[in-house]
Amino acid sequence: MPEIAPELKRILKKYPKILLELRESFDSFLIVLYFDWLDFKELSIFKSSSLFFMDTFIMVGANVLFYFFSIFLVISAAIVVFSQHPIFSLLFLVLSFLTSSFILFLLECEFLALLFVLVYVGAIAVLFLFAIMMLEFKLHNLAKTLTKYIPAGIFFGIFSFFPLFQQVSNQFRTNFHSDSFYFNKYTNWLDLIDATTDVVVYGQILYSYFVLQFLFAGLILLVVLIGVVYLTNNWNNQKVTDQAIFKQLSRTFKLNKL
Amino acid sequence: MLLKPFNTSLYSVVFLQSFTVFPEHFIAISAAYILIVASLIVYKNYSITIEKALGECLGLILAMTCYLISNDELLGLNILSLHNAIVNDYLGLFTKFTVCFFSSTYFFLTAESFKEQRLTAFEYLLVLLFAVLGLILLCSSNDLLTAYLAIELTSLASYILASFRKTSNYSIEAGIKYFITGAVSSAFFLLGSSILYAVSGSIHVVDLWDLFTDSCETGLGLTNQFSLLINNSNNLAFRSETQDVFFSSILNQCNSNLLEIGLTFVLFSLFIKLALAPFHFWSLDVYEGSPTSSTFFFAVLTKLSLFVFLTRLCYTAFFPLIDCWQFYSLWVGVFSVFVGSFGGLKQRKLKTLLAYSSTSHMGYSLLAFSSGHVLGIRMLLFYLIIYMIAGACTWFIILLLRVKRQKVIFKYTKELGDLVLLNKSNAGLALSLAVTMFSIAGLPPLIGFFAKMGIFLSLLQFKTYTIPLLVILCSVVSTFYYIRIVKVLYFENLLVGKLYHPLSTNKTIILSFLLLSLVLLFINPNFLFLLVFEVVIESFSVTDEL
Repeated sequence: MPEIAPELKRILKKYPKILLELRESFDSFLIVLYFDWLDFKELSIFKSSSLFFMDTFIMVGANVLFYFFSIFLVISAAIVVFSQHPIFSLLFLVLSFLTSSFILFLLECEFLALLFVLVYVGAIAVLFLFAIMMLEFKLHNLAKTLTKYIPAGIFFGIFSFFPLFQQVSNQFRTNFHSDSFYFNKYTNWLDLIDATTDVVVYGQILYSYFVLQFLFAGLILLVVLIGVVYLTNNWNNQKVTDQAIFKQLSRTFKLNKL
Repeated sequence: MLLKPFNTSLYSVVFLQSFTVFPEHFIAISAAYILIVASLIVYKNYSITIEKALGECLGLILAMTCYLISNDELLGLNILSLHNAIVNDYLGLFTKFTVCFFSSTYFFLTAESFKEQRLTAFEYLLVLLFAVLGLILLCSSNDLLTAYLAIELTSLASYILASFRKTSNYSIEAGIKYFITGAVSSAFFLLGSSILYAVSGSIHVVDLWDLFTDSCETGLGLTNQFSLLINNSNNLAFRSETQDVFFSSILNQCNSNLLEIGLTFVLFSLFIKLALAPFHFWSLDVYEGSPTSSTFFFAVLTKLSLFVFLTRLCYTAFFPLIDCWQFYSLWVGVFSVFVGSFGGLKQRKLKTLLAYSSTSHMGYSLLAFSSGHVLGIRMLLFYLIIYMIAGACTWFIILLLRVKRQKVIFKYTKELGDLVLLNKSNAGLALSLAVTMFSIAGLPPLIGFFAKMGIFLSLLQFKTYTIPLLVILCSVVSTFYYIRIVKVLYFENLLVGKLYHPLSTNKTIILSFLLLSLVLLFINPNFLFLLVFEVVIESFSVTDEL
């Protein structure tokens, strides 16, 4: 580190704009950043910069928002499971989708965030709501099943996810490149050269690098479509009606004549 | 690594790159063609009568795909294409050929029985074709995303196949159970691969191989490109120093526990798909409830390509983490051999019995896989091919066993009691079932013996003798229920058996061909051994040295 620091310092003094852009690329890695925050503070060149306090303010604000939405997401997801009434749990499901889309906004994945709102809230949750309203089933012994299954759930939750969380926090607590030049390795240097918007990037990558995968996603949709059409249709009981546009457009058209 | 990136000039990008997945393109386009023709033109007029013809047509399509693969010019090239998503090596092409060959055989075997099983809809065949497409793509997929899509294509098609008999409650139940377990396993796969991506920064098998193996000298791997990208300074001494820091830091400084957790999630999700022992409970009900031809498909065809992907993942990308995956695959393998052997003892239902049998066979294959040695992979492929031949034989016979009844009531489930005195009513069928059972049990004059012996030999590479001893004892126990089937066929003390429909000539020819292969391969198994040995030498010569 010591040999490189004066070099970098000189560059940063010459082009102060780089620092701003550095911050921008940092923001997209908020989670990583949090764990590296202490190391970041110790880096002397950033302390000397006049932009340092502004950066601190912005990043702390973003962190606070991130934590706020994460806690909100966890709470609403817990209510989805524990709620006694299906409508309540569904509404909290919508809330958790919205919160996760906020988190995606914070991580600068605008397209994915909008997709979350459109697909999950707009389509799937509303579909669920319709199904629940039509079925109108009553869950009397929900409390009984809850007490029956929650111990097993907690057991599996602790023993499968506790190690995972522990390892994640271990992994990102320290920057194992702190001795080497790769200290700032999460800086995406390509971002500094040319920046493109989210949707453009998805489009570019999807149609060039992932053509095959894109085609196969389409094939999966086709298979599901065929299966759903077959499994839900009942050809025997259904009167097949042909389309006769000329007849149907006439003023004296009646449906049962067809 | 031996595999070199496929360098193409601009004008040849479109053609050559798409020709590396030419068989997949062929199957997908023919499936789309069949969909259009069957739904728009033919289905209106000849819905039921074309069922058999369509099945044989699909068999022909897959035979054509076999021809395409065997005549592939890319056979010996070992290239990566489509941005490292597809690998065209001998292992991939060989397993693709095997899957295509057996699924083509599958269509010829089952083409007549669709009508007898009352699965009269062309969608069934179409969905089967899509499932085969997913299996073939999985054989050559070289990154986690492509593999996920291939697995999803196959398993979504499988859920539909399991619940295809809409009027039967068992079938619907099987479909829903399969769907829920499959969804859980897919979720675990995605979680695991996202963790792997978070730690390593790549989902490509080749990149991971370059990252975790100390191979700074070989070629332009990801690490070299990465360091070139970062290091803009021309100071060569500085560069080499940082490179050293980087390479040594990857597995030593970087905490590999998280990596192991991600790999474990991926492994467990694949174990669920393979119905290995702690995760096998779905397979019992799904095999029993779904239509027999679907069960045939799940039990015989879907296993090979999953094992190919596991091999790619563990033997190339995560070979340095051998302690992790060897531990899990060893114990899951032993446990599933144990469960498969002891679970089938009290079982009277034929399909559930075969589900237990399939669990124990997957356990044997996983044990061969866990040996961490090239011999293990060879034996794994050999065992799986033998398993597919024997499985095709067994399930074909089960499809052929149609009890003659006065009433119209159609009974789908088969029990061991249905096979009573088959020797008297149809001696040839009884003989063939007995021979197949002996082969699966691993008795010497049949090829199943060599397959099991290969597994035990590869296990002895460990120099620990307790695990092979345990597995051999379990295998002895499992011969009990195979031989009980033979006892029911021949030596039951009953005077009244059941009458069966006679076989047609075509079916008899195919069945005798399969049976002869079981016997003749024992006399000269060199053909298979040579094929399998060549496969492994081609794609694992680097890991051979490790």
